[in-house]
Amino acid sequence: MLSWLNLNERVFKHFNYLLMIQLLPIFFLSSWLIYEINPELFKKQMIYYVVAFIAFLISVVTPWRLILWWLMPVIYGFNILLLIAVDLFGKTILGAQRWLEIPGIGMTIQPSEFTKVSIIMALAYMIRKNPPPRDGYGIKMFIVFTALILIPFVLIAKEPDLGTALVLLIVGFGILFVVGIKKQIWIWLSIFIVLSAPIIYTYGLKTYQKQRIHDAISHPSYHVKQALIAIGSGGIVGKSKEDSTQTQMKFLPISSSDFIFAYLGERLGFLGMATVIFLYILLILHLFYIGIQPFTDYLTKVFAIGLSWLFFVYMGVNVYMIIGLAPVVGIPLPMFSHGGTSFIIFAILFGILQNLIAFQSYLGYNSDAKISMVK
Amino acid sequence: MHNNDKNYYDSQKSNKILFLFLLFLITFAIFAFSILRTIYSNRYLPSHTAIIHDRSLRGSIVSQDGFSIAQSQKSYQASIRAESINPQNRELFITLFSLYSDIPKEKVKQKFKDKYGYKIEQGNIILSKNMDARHAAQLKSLAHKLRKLNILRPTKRPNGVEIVYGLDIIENGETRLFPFGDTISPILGFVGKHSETNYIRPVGKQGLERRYEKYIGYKSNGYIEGKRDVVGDVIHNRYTDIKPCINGLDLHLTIPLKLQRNIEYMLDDMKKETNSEEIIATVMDSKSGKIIAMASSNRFDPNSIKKQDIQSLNPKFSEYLYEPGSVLKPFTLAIALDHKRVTPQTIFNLFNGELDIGGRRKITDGEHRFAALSASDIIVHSSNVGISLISWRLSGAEFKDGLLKFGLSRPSGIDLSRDLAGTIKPVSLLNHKLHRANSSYGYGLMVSFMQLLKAYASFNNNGIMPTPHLIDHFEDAKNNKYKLPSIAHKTQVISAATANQMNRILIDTVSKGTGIAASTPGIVVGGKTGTAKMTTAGKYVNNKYQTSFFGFANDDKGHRYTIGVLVINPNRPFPYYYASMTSVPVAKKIIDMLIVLKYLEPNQQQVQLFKQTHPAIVEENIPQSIVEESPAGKTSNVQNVETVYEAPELEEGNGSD
Repeated sequence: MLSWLNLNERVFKHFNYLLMIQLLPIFFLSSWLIYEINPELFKKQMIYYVVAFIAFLISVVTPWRLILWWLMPVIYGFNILLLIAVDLFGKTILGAQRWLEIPGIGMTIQPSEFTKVSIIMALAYMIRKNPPPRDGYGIKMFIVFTALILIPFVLIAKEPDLGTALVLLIVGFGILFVVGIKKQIWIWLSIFIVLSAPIIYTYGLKTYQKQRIHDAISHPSYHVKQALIAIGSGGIVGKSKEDSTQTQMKFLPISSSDFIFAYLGERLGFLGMATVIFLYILLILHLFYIGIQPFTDYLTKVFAIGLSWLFFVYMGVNVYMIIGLAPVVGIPLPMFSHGGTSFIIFAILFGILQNLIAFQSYLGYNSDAKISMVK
Repeated sequence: MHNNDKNYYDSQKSNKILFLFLLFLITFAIFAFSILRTIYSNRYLPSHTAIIHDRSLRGSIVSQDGFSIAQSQKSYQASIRAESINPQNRELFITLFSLYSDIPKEKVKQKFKDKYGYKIEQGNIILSKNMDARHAAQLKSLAHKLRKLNILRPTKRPNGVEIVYGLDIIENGETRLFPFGDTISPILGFVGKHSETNYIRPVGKQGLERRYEKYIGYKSNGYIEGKRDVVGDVIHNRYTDIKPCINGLDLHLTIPLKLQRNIEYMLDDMKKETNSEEIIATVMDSKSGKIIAMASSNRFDPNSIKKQDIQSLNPKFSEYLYEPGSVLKPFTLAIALDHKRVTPQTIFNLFNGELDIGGRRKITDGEHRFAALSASDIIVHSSNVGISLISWRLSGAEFKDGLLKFGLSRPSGIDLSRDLAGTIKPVSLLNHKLHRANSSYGYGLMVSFMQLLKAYASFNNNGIMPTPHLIDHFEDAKNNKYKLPSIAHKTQVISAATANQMNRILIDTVSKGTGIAASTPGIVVGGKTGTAKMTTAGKYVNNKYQTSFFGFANDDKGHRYTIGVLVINPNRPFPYYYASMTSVPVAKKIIDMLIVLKYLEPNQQQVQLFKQTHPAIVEENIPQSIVEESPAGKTSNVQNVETVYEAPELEEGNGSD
């Protein structure tokens, strides 16, 4: 075990620095915007950065490959238990039962936030354990994976937190799509979704959810209206801080977290928004590129692809919801919006990925490995 | 590591990357489209600026003695939405509105009912359309109070926003006021309405209002534009854009209101006394052409024009063409004198007042028939035969040129909206003795009243004919005065010597001849009368005449006025329709008024002398009994008319004063 700490330069040689460098402009832009909105929030954000960096370092040095065989079922199982606990005696805030109060200290946690880690971890472990055949997984494995994804999905959707639940669904199936499932299954699945969508819409959704979807298309909510005004007033190149009245005069709600993209639009205009999206696309493509390398091991693949899907879905939904093309669900712009939990979890995910990349071949020399590195 | 495997993974990779790229592309395309549409679509923002209109007004028309005869003021409209009044407070609203606007309560109530008598519950109700500024200001303060008194309630708009619509007071136009009613009315003219967006302006339709539209009409609207405050008022700071409004120029008349009004009232009386259709009279300064009175007995109130006013709408001074009759004779003589074909003393054989000119046609004089008269006495006694003989000493071209010089068949230059030229016969006809004779005593040509007045001024101004004008100057808001260049135009029509000879003859005509009723002690009065048959549809009408007097009244102090009077169709028994009984008394009254109002100062020595010699007349103050004309035979008149019927191309006159 001590050999884990016996890091030699080969570990750092495999470390993916480019991935980290790519994140820096996003951090700079984000903290600058948050500073303009509220210097106090900026200080908080800096604390989150420090905490997240520590979490990242810890997760980089944690020997995931060694502990995953027992950690994965524990984390996954514990997560499911927490979600059930939320269902049973969760705290209701704003009509949604999403929070668990930790007895004694009065702190609340949102178990659905951790679910994305546990699902990716579970899929990574299962796929690593049962690598896909040449033409993809058959129906048996598909059902297993689907069960892994659907159990937390249903629990979260019941809270109700359909936004997060759908993100998990897309990320989960997205990973499976890239890793490989038989074509026939995809075809049957698409037919099933197309046919069942109206039924799910009619009977599966609550009235307020339907209203939200309806409003997203025809009647933008107050939040979205203000965001659109901000973006429209920003124009192509944006406005100075003093002229960014939508944000500075607090018309734009939650401007530092979920709606920070609207402030970006007001401050830096269409060009600023396009630049940020371009940065995200580069990041997503890089993660995807890591995940699609033919002879990388499946743990790295699944984490890279999972992160890539997470970024894509989070960014897409957040941006679309701000411009009124998607229902307003509480999904932040990944690693851009002000907020601790989400940021730290992404940091941990990056840490795990870096760990897996760095120690990919390192462990190969180690007979202590519980997971066989040889196919 | 098999090649097979590598190819398989490569193909898988490229497929999946393509898929991802397409996903990005579509997602980004939708994003870009949506954002650009948001940026470039109209946002219907409330304006950051507000504008206060300061609309330009039409200039006033001011009399020479400083009275504003026509003026403009802004009018306001009050409206409210029926649904924004609390039903239980409707009565209170009506009471308050009535109190503040001085509109009777019943009338306000009526506004809340539609044409079938049902209560209006919805929509905008216009409560009043033409309020003055004072009432508008009062109602604005009421509008402010209404918001506090729980009389109004919010109404919901289709977009869900609730708004309290209050009492709306807006400027909706400009009203033209004529505070003195019908004074100066036919020449002043009237205005019509010109609609702009949400604003109605007066626009000149007739008379001075129309003629000087260019000057007195509104110039350019002013405004105050700047950032607005929360209630929509302009914030005045150095960025405020202020454009002052430029009103139309004020028009200053040469006519003093006092004299004009007195003459108008006098004409009203005289119209009744003479039983005529209309009497018009004008007094003009002989030297400058300034008109100091231009009055008609048929006036209308431009504030409210009624159906019976239609006949009076057009001022007759320059729009009414007629055959002048004997008042034209002095021009014939003046032209002959100017060409030195005659002298005032030249004696003419008048063939006892009856001159055969071939066929059955003849020229006849009236009742006073003389065997022979001097040229000046031909005017004094108004002999048709005599003036015909004089005209025959001129060629057709000379005669016509002379008349043209006097301004006939040319617009008179008076500043009214229509200034008709009239006609005289062409040279080819005037070369004929008959036509020349006919025109020499005022038939076969059409003139306007102003043309004659203007031409007569030359006899009182050393042969110089001024341009008659009503406008003294225009004045802008900064008291800069602008004169029209055209009014200074003067022409030498005849030599000064001829003019003075004519002046003498006209004085004789008043002191010895047909105009004697106008003679006034201490004042030099001269002039010529005329009684001409009226034509209707090109034919002479029996017993319809128009009589006129054109002349002058001067004093020792240098005041020289040309006076013209035209009485249209005095419906009186023979011989009371004659000019000496109709036009001349009007002229006399005008001269008396000029004296009373100090426009003329009689020579006191002469007045004393007159009092001593005519004690009775002084007492009676120029009685009606002074009639110099002897009764004319009715037969001669009838004869003349018959002559005309037989020879229509020779419109032989019967003018015989």
